[in-house]
Amino acid sequence: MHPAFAPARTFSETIGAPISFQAIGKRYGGVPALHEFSLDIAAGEFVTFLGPSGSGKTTALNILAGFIEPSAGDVLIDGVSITRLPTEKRNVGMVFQSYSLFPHMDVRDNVAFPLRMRGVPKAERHARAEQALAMVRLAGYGDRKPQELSGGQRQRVACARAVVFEPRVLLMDEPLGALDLKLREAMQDEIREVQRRIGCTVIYVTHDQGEALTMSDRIVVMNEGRIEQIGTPAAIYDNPSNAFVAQFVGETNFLTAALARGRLTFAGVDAPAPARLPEGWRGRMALRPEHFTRVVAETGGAPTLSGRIDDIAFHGGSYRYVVETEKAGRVIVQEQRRHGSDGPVVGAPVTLKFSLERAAFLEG
Amino acid sequence: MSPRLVRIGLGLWFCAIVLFLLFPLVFLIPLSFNESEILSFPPTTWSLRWYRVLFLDTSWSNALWLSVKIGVLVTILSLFIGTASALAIVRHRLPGAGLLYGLSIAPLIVPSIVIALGMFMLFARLQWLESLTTLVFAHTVVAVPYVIVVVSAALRNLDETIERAARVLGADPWRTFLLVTLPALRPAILAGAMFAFFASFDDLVITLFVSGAMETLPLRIWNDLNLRLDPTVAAASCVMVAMSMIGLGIAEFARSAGLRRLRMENTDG
Repeated sequence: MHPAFAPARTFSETIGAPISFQAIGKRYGGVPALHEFSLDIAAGEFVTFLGPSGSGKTTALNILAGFIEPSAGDVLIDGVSITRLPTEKRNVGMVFQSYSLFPHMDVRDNVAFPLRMRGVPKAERHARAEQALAMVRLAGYGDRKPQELSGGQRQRVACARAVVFEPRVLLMDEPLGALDLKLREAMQDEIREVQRRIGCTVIYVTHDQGEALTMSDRIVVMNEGRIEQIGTPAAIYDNPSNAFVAQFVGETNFLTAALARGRLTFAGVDAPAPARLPEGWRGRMALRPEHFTRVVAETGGAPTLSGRIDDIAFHGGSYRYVVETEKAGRVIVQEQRRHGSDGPVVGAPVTLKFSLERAAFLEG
Repeated sequence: MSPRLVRIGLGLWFCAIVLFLLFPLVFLIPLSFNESEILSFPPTTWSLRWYRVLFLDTSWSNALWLSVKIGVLVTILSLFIGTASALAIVRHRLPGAGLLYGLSIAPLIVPSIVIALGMFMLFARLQWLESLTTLVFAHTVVAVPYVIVVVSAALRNLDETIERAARVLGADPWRTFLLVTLPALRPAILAGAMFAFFASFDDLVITLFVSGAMETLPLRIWNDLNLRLDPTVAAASCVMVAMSMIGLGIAEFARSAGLRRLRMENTDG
């Protein structure tokens, strides 16, 4: 029996399907929008495609949805090629940035639409729509028109509509892009919660690195039609594989460095080289703002940079400030506030300590 | 000048323009209620006599019925052709869509006497004059562009991701059109229908060339002017004006309701 025609279930079983992109290519005219895109996603995994506009993340999603035909390669859901399947037969749920609710239908009919397309009788599809609405905390909103709802409520209806038929794959194309910050954060939790309950495989497209770090099991960082790095949020943050990733995910300070005779030299500092670097290495060190510690005098052997505090932003639990250093240009520092200690002062001379163990070393 | 004076001045100017535009009606309406046999202004005695003639005299009522019949057929035909054309031009990214659009609305710009002459020569060669089908076809040519203009504008305003959403949620292209696109286009289609109907209902020039002995309401009025000229003409004109006003009122209402809905969708609640 086709999964869509299965009797109503509670949203608890793991129904996710594995997805496999196999060397997908897409060209517009002569311009490649996606190049040799290969990726395997496990059943039930929450994977985020992260990248700036034009990076190919939406193209990859639209190829999976069937809105765009790839120029090369194959897409598999649950081991079966879907590349030649029309969109409506792919049985995936999807949420769009622009909500895309049907304006002439009430909320209940919107949510029940996928069930109607699958021939579920009216009474049952209304019951299941109500169940899905309850899951996104909109029980009792069935009679409203989409136009009567707020942006956040509309997107929750869109989520309910996308999962009501228990798809094994859920695609989300910048679903929170149109919402304000507070709502976005609340919705991030809700989306994760819904995904955990349903167990479907999620591909989530965003250009917001914070969102990607918060929500994903794995992040696929994309740029100019290519995959830059694939990894867990922590792996991507701690070990960016190149300057693009380091810069795009989180904030990064770059220091040019070179290794010779077991010593690493950078910005006038000469330190013992970390064991993982080969002799003769040269490139850039990437240091996160929170890798630096402001010290008064004694550094205990750790490398230091000195300079003057230029600009301070108060962030509640922490300070974020810019240090104009003597040898390494402007360095962004994040400092936790500690009870009983003095905060940074604009214009004050400062010495920054950091550990090379936490730095990422990038070629070129 | 104070803003108040400007407002009064503009108001008066607007009234003057409206009066100028409605000037013919100022004569026609009283004339149609005139008891007298000759078209004299102002009327002396009031009556509905000429309206009675209009609806009871078979030459008049047949003309009115023929016009309505042609108008309805033209409307149906135009809606199918026009909506399909708009979909093809806007949604399917045909090569040369801009040129195609220009060509398809050309009948709005080409003088109708030219169209009429062309049709006359074509239909004469085909020996196709003097049939209901001919008239319906001829009127459809000038009615379709209205539907294309109105529907393609609405289609351009309609967010394509709504149709994509329907597809990905399980609707095939045909059901997507019926359940999502068509309802969203309903106001535009209603407006287009009204424009198409009146493009046909009001037409005289093309009808003159291709109708043969068939007499639509405008043609009946025209022929009457050549023969004897009685106030039935005025009554017929008033009926046409009333129908046009109601129809275009509906069209305008549908159009603005559609716009209002679009605006509401585009703002967050």
